[in-house]
Amino acid sequence: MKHLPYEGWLLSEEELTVEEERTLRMHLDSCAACSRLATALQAVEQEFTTIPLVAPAPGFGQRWQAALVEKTREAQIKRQRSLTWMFFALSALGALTIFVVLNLQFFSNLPTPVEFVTQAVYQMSLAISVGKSVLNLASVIREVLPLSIPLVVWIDITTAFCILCFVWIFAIWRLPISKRSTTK
Amino acid sequence: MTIPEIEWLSQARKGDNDAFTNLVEAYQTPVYNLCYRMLGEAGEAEDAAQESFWRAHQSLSKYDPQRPFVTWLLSIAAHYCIDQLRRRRLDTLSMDLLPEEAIPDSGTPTPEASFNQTEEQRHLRALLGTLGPQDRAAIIMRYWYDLSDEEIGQALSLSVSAVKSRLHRARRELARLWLAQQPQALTSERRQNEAPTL
Ligand SMILES: [Zn+2]
Repeated sequence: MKHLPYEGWLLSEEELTVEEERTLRMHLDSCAACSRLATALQAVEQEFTTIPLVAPAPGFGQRWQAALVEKTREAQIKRQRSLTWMFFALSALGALTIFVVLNLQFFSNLPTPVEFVTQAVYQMSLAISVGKSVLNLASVIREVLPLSIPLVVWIDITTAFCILCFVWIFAIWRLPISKRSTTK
Repeated sequence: MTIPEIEWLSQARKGDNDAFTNLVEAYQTPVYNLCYRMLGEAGEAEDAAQESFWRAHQSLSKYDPQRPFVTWLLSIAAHYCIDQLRRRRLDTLSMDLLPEEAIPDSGTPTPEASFNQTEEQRHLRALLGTLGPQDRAAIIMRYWYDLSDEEIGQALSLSVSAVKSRLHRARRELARLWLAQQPQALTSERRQNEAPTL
């Protein structure tokens, strides 16, 4: 290409030697394309270097201060949230590890996957049946217990429970007041 | 950096937010100008400049004092603006397509000067809008901030040869667009048969 070194010289910002500059001038006098490129580059550079820096609207510093307060708060919330998630994930991981360790021996005794699945289904059904039995027992106690205890005893228990609750609430109410008076 | 600025920087690095605010006041124009030239819109530029200062505030401990502070700030702003442009796919969109809005000016020029300046800014926006995000950042850093190839490379995480080739390509693109926009200016110039000064 006949423009090759000249176009590169125009587009790069490298310093040209006196000889290079002379040959470039000669080429520009005879080549309309390179001459156009030189003119355009000069115009663009002039436009870029004469336009001043644009300043933001007044009050940028105040807006920054307000943004700083807001963003610091947001960052804190974000940090807390991620800490909570991390804690949750670590707890879950710990629970999983304990579960695996406790079951390791049980699982290692099973040679085939079929036996493993059978055992897992059996263990699950066992857990469900135990849960059901506990619920049944609870409902039986709930039905039988009121009949075997006389009404007077029930009234005594309820009254005692109410008094205990009252004492408890009173203690909670008094405690901060006494603390405040002692600090004063 | 001036002596108070060095003092503010050292205070800010110890966690003094007021000292950092002083730095924000001192460097708001260079940072905002870069964002404005990159994004081409005042509102977006304001948000980008604020975000850049926030990122600088958060990573102040990582700042290397051997490096000019302004270059470090510009690097943060440029990376943020490049991400914004990529995310919003603005680079595929000419800045001419953006809604017309008031262009912030520095100083208080006369109405005529103001009109010319606004026209110039619009023209400039159109020119810069044709460049890809990284080429645009390189051109802005070269012409408005007079950064060297090495400094631009450091700011944009590019090698020096990559900066050179990007500037080369960007200049060609800008010249091509300038010629396409101003055919009359060119013919009159050619008629004058004026050899360009190099
Ligand atoms: Zn040529």
